[in-house]
Amino acid sequence: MKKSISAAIEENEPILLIDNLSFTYEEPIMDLADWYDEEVATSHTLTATRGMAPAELFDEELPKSQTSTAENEMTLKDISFSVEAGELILITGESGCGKTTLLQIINGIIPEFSNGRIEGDVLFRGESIIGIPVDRRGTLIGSVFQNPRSQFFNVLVKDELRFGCENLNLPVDVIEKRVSMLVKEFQMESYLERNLFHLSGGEKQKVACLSVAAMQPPIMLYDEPSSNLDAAGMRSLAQLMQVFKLAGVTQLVAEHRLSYVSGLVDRVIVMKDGKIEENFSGDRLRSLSVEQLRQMGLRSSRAVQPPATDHPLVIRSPIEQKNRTGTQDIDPEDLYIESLEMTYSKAAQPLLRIKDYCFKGNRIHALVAGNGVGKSTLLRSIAGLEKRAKGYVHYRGQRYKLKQMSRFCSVVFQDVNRQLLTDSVYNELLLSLEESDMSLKEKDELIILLAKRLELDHFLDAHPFSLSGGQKQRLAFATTLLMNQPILILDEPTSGLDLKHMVIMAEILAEYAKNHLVLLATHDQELLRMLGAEIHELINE
Amino acid sequence: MNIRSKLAIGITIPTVMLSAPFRQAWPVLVWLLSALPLIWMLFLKRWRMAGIYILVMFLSHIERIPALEPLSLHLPWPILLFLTILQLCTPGIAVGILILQTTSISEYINGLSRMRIPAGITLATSVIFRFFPTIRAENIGIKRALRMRRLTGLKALHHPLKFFNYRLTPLLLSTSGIGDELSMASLCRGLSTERKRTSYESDNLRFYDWIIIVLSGLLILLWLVTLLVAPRK
Repeated sequence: MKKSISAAIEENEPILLIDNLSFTYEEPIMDLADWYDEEVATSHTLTATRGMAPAELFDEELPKSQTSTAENEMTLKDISFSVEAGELILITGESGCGKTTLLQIINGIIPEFSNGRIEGDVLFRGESIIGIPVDRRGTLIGSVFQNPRSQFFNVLVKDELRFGCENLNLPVDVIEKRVSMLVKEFQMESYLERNLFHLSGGEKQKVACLSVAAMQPPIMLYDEPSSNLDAAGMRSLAQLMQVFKLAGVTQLVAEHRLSYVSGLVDRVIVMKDGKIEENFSGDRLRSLSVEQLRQMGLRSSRAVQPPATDHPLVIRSPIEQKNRTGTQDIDPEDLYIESLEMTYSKAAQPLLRIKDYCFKGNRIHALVAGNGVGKSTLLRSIAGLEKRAKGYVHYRGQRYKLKQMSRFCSVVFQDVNRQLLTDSVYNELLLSLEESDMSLKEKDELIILLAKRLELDHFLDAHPFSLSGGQKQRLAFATTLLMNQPILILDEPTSGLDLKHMVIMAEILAEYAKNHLVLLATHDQELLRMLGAEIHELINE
Repeated sequence: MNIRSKLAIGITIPTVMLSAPFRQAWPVLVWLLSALPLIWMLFLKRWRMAGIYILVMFLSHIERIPALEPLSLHLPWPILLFLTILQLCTPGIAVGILILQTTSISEYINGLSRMRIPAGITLATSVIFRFFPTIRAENIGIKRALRMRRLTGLKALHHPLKFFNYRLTPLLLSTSGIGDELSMASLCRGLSTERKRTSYESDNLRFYDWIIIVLSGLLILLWLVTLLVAPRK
């Protein structure tokens, strides 16, 4: 029986009640098994130019050749919990556990964007909201998404901040009052006239939160909002959440990075395979040790200090550096950068200027820096993929121009969507072996072995774009491993990974670095600790 | 300038400039209309854009400059054809770019909804403003990925179809993914085809807006009359 909202408030009803909610995707999943056999048997008659991929990397036994069917449907099963007004609830669990699906049912994206069967109910102050279309739910429930790049509709910051309120047809003076209050509170005055395309990920995410907050919804949902943020970005996000909490906003945060938000959490819901596995208080979360959290498959709830480094190496950019080692000291496997410089066409100052810097061979090197300092640009420059970068690299006894370096490098880009080129996970992996001299059977075995290690073996026939963010990252990582290049470059490879898959990736990287040079940029302090990488700090002065 | 007067220019200039009878009957007007985007650029202080516009217009008129006749007479016909196309299209394209650059999405949506254009069309077309920079960024990223996967040069020539597929599939899927996420985020912030939106820009057309709209109307009228009286071959 439905009650009026005011009656519900008087009865001290929870602001949000998830009542026995279940969900099954109903989109037909194509059975591609037959097609797959045919494709493997007939495709790619390839010539060999390079050595075999390192099969010894993958310590599991070769499984029998398998043709799996796509099983990436997600189901929620009997989810029930209630949320009191003003609470901050953390929803966590492995990627693919159903966090995002749950949030999407609450904010109405499901069923608007996906077909499926919803059972149970979502009650806002005692009243069902399941039937309310997504655009009307926006006044009750605000949503902040994972990818800051794809959630702004306007080009200028000020237009974006007003956008939600304009959609609600609020009077101009009310919108101006709300926006100016937020702008003042979060010191955004200097941003108002800026182009959103030119902001860093952290700044974009802040604008996204404020644009939603301007609509003043009583509930806010966040779907992995920290994925693209550095430590400073996460602190700023936590500060926003704190202010909203003080203002009495109810917040639901789906996240697997716990450290930045753990101080604010009132309750934690741990999900697994579409079910609620645990539901405990924020105090308990804060009291659990790292080891206990690990046993639950969760990441650390405390801010992880960057590992101490005994290498006093600091890349200062764009300040020039003196020659530290001299080219005569370097080992052939070392990567020695000579006078790297990169300038954007319109800027007078170079974005990067690195004079003589050496990355030792057969090791893992981690570049750390705040958002927007130039880590990604430096990595792309070293990989020979940045046209505007100029300079030389000494490697294996030769001096190469930067752009020639692409022959030695394989790269996991920050946005992996742009590097998945084929129509199935299997073909994507096979494409990386195109230049290998292995037989088709050997390739097949190696692909399945690696897919199994990275837990992609159930998705071999799935289209890469049907995978979740974390799965795509694992796939891109697998494709670069199979290319078996002497230099492996990774740009924020763990932004979408849960603990389990981060550990797997760290193990593989440690193994790979025994005879390859690994260079990665990351904000992920937990990953750095696990890898025991050499830390190089990129500083913008 | 009001979005309605911008749209009036945006429709009028390409329409009349692409019409052969109009160009033959009113050469002076054609010159004036060609200069209009330039004046707009100078008014907005887009010096670089104005420079490029002058250069392109100069190059496209090269065959008409008597002093350069010895050169232009020897130009092969495909280049002459290209120059003619450039001549006809440049003012229209320039006006289009200027409209895109000077109009915010809200202004566009509100302007069109006041013109009683169905909200479905307005919202769908408004995404264009957001999508040009997106497609550009995605394209650069995919080019890098192809280079990293060694899918360039000779290989691309040997397997052009496959290569085309590698290039286009991620571009389409990635941009459509962004499109999906964008529409989710917009709907969650209450963007709706049914509700009225707040309008920041004043609804009133100013004096110069009226002048632009009236002049555009007259030009379209003139174009129609020219078409009617033009001798048929």
